[in-house]
Amino acid sequence: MSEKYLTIADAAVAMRDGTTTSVAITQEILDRTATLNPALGAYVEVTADAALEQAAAADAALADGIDHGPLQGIPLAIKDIIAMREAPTTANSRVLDPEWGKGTDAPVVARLRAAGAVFVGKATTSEFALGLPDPDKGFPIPHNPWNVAHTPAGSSSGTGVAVSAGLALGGLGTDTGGSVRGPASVNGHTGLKVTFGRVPKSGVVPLGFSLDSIGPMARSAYDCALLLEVMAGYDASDPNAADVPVPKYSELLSGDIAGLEIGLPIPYFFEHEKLDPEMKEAVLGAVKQLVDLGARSEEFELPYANEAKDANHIIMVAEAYAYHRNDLVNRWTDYGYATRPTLARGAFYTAGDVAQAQRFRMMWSRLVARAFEKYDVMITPSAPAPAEKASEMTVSRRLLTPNYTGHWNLTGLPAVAVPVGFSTAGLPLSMQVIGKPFAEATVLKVADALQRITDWHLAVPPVEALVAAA
Amino acid sequence: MSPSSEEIVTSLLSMARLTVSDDEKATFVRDFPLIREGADGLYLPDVEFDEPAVKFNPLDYYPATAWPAVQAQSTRSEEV
Repeated sequence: MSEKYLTIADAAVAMRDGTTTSVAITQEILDRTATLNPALGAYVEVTADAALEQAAAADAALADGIDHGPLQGIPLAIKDIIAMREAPTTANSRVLDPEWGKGTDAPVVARLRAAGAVFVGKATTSEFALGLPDPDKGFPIPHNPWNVAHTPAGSSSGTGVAVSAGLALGGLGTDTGGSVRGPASVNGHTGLKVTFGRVPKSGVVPLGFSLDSIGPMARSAYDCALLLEVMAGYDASDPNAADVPVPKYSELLSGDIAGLEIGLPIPYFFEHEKLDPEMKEAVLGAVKQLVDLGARSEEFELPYANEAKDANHIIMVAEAYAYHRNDLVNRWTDYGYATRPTLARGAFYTAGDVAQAQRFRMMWSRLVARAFEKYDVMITPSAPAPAEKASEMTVSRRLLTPNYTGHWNLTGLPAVAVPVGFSTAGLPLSMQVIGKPFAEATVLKVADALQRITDWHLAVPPVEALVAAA
Repeated sequence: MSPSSEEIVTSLLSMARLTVSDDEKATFVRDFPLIREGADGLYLPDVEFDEPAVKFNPLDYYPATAWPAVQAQSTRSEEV
């Protein structure tokens, strides 16, 4: 197997048994990025020299018997709304102050650095983690490696594309309404939205203060566990960081899900008129595989899911509007064509609407907590449909289509997107596993159990034509 | 008579001091009923006794027993 498709776990073993080195893996990824990035738009900036220095340092440390763990020497992509000292943070926007976070690491990046990780570069994001790419603003336009005419989703588009196309072994995304799970879903790999407060989010350009989280993205659930056990933990710089113990997640992925109780919430998540039949069939097929492994599943009614989608959106745009208001007034056209009208919706909701959305949030959280008295996890599709054509994405789309991810930002719960197959058009299909607060180990265990008996997460996108054309 | 979506959008944009193009304004006018529908749908009788979640902490809504695995696996690493 080529190194570019190694998992983090595979690479960690290979570096320690002498099969390869971090420099070799990093160089291959940099070469591949040089070839594919113009077509895929995964990175805003590639920090090649620094990455090779980090890789050499990781190899030298290992040779000296200094082992910081499985992330040592692993090339990662960092979403460009997260501060990383080697490169500026742009948020893919002309509006963000160029000095923002300059020369600093977000705490989560500092933790990965201390673990010996290698940083390939800053990965493309939707502007301020919102909206759609604007070709007139001078930032890369990300494309789905499974079909470049389709969206790689957002907002952690670049990290999703990089992981899928072998331009990094893993990376960081952020998730306010689905921005880790969406790209993981449509690009065909694994992505975890963590419990609110699980990973400190200081050093990240905010979108929705009470909804934002930083999550790992990688080919496998096991790799996400390896990343999370380094990323997670209290940090005083984030007022919302939770002082809750951090398990060794990777050691809890036993593959044993016997007796696990799975709830399948209906009607919104499985009976919606806009749910793609292939997506539904693939998710229910994966649930059956989990049942065959000893889990139990049943449908249950979870009311107000459509309203929960709206509540998440109202809170997100209200909080984002508060952050951007002065720039929207003074620099409207510096924002992308899709970013500015979405942010401006914050001016269309009343103060009472926002308070009511927060009251709804309490009620919805109670309903979900009640369901979790019976179930260990809930499972839904990660999205109603596979990746849409990029040309069909519009500013109004979020108002018109169902969404299956923002519900769990509203409740602050962990949720992982897991590949479960492909559509007849060759686009990835994905299942979402939602858990109780701080039960990242449980949702990752379910994903890992499935990935022990399937290989959807290891599938490689057909980018040979892009390589040949480069 | 109720004001039209165009009249409301014009007022809201003016109050927010946002200067938008004609096309953008047309999109806001078209979407405004959907925006209101989403907000109006949250004024539910079932929310009557709920206070706003002004600072959100997921643990407030779940008993500590919901995460025994975390407590049992207290292998917290030192913070960087």
